[in-house]
Amino acid sequence: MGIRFLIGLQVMEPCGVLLRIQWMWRWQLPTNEPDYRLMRRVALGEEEAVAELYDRFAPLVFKLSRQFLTNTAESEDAVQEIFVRLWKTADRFDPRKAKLVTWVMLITRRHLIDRIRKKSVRPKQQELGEHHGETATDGPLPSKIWLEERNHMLLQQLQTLPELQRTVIERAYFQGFTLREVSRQLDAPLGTVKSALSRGLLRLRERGDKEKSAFH
Amino acid sequence: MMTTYEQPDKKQLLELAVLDSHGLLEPLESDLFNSAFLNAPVTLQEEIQKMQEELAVDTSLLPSDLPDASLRRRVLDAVAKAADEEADRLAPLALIGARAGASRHNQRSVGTSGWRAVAMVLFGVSVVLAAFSISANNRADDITKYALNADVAQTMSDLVGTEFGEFIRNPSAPAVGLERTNGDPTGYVRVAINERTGAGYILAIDLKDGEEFFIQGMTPDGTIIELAHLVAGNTPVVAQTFSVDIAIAGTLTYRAIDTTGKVVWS
Repeated sequence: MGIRFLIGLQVMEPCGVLLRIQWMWRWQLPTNEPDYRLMRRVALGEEEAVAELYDRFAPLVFKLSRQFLTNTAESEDAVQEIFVRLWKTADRFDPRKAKLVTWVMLITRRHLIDRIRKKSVRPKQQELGEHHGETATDGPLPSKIWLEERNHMLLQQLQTLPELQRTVIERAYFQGFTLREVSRQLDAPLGTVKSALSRGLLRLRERGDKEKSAFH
Repeated sequence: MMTTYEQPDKKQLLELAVLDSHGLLEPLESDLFNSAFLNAPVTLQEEIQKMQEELAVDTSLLPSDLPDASLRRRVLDAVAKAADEEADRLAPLALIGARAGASRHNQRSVGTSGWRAVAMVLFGVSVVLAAFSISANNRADDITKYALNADVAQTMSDLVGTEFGEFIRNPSAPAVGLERTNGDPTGYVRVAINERTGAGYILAIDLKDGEEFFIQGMTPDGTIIELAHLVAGNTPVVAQTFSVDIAIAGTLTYRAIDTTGKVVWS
């Protein structure tokens, strides 16, 4: 079965407004694509499908949870919540937009950030202030000492970044502040914060890859 | 003077892609990124997908811990429990519109997982119908039969696709209903446009076999814009997406014309 659609046309309307009538995506939906079919089965709650999803991605999901959260028990709770969330959102997976691993890790990161933001731990004044002279504001924050213990290599790599990139990563990525909040805290334009965050994350990855290669 | 929607340039889009893959964009920003991604050239889309995949699988800076073996069973049990709770909540919806005899027969022939799937499909469809202000009473019969006979794993995508989620419960995307100009009460056509992004969605239910028309939008100055061309097929629901300049997204009125140019829905 299928739904019939027609190809859209791209026309230039006389007044200059460009209209784009899009291809109907269902025409190209890769219904035989294995990951798409897997997520359809996950959406139906099939245990075998959920087990397959777990076996493929649990190690990655768990490692990321350990990076963000303070102990193993909390990380395991987060993994359970994440897989329930993956089940609830399984019908939204579209392989034309992203690979399944990208989708899974996006859901994971969003859940962990939401979890951090809900935590009531207040940051120590000097932990936020030492970078830019800003006073700490309300917000969730894993203690810097814990962060150091859990993520020694990551902390080392963070220290090699330019100050702005390091600060925005710490505040947005680990402390759960929104980008707008970071922009206000640093009195920097939102676009500048986004660019710094994006470049910093990419640099961390590049340097992490080099470190890993150096040991192999 | 109307302005065209500014698609982010490649550099901006790549930056947004990095932030999106780390879950750092707000929901609206993420929607705008998705919209910009869909409008980007295929080569750029592929570049972004590859980059996001590399970021997703990168473990170079992650701790080396692995989950305990017992976590697997706990996760499976947690998902099963959540699914059962959802099915219990939705089960009454699965009987909406179904004839009592048919439903009893179906309850004998459809296992628990089948009813769970049907309930989820019907819930999804009822949400769509409610969002588009369509009474479910008459439609539920056809949709129930369709869902029970169809590959339910495909049904939601087949019926309304994955894009409809962007329009449901979205205050920036009000839906407008069209009615047949000849007074025939059968069928429904609904148009929704996200006024923040210009992304549009058309939903048509119970069109006549072979029915064909063009949905048009009209700006306040009388300019007519063709939004979509719909042809009724062999399923009860037809849906299509489109996009327009955000400058006019909130100003359009709608109608449908047939192949002779006659207005048939307004």
